[in-house]
Amino acid sequence: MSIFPVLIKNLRKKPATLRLPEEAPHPQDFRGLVKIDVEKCIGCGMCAYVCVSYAVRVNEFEDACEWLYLPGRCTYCGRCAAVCPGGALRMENGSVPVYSSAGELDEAHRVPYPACPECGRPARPVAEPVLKRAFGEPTEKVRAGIFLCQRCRLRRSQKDLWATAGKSIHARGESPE
Amino acid sequence: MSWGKIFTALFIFPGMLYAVPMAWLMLWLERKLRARMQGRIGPPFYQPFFDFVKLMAKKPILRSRADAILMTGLPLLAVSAGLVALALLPVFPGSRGFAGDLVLLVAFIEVPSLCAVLAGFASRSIFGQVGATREAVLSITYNLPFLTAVVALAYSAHSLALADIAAAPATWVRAPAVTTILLCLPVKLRINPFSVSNAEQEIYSGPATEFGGSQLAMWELAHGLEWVVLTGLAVCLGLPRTGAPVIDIALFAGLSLVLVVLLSFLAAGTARLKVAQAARFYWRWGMGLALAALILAMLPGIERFIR
Repeated sequence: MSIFPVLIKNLRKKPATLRLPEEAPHPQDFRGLVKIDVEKCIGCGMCAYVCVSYAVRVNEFEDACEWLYLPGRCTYCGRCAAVCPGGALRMENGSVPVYSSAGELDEAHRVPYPACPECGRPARPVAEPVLKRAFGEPTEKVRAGIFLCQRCRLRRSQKDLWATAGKSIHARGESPE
Repeated sequence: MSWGKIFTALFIFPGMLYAVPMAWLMLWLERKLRARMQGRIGPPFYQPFFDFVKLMAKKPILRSRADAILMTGLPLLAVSAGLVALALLPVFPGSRGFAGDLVLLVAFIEVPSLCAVLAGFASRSIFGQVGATREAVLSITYNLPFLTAVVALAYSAHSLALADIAAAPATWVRAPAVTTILLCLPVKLRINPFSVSNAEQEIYSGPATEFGGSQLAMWELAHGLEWVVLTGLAVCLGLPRTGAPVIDIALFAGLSLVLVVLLSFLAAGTARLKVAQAARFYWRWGMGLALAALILAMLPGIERFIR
């Protein structure tokens, strides 16, 4: 019989249920929707490569690449964000919203390729974290070359190679046996 | 009774037009109160209606023809029996009814339970069969005191017409008899502590386990109608009428809802009993009360006989 005072007390009180999602705090490393920072994306396609559920896709075009994300397929494993070399992908710290029609949350972002400073053709973008990872503290020379398109970069490195290698051949040629 | 009155009773008040929304309201009230007493939020008031609409739109699972006929027919029979039982309720004194409608009402009140038993076996599921067996056992258990109480009421009023019984002056018979009927409500409505036949977390939903779609929607509606009929019956038999139709309707509806609140308290505050415990309760306390009512009803006759 002592249950009935408890029931009446419960009736007077507010429900114990927390209203989702406002009141329940998410853990710090909660993996929600994948978000992209287009400025940092270098269009490498690693995210699409590691995605087991084919939720992240990268379509390449001549002057840009298209980053597609289909949350309906996503397993929220976090591999894409972990593997992203430019740190462009992160996972939202919140529940995925409820949606009523298929593909409502799908996202498509265009990552434009900047123009090559020498020839003006589209060149692969480079982000600061990638530079740091590859070169430590990149020198001025690296910085000057890294924004070139593939062709111009090749040409420049050939030139450099010829400059150094030619010198050494020359030096060898000069020295007598 | 004219056809117009029959039509009104079946389809307007206390029939379909009143009973169906009231059934949903009662189902909601019970769920909501139980949830709030357990510290949960509970559903919004239109939830039973939405459940019904959603279930109606769903396609039932294909079965063999014989099974399909049974599984569609039984819930429909339960719903119609509930509506007919409602139409027989003596909400207004003396205006409706015929000699012997008490017998018909008692029979129709029992039809949904019988349908549930048959449906449990027809669904060919082990959970359905266990639920059906329990329902059948309980039906024997609670009907004994229930029918005894009804007989006592009829005997003291010297009539088998519901209107006469309801209009009879309050006597010593009425208190134990109506109390017995009230005691039988939780088991007839299959709520705690007597939710033995539809014991969730134990045998899923008992007889209704294998039902889905429109068939399940009909079961839910039948269950809601059972709430309206049984609380209505208790109110009709337990309360004297004023004679003014509007006040009578308001009293009928309001007191039915009060009963729902009390039953919700009982459901939230108790745990499920075993079949044997439930049976013992009804045969000991229910039967004791009902017999007391019957003896009280027969006392004047015995007195006359002795003299």
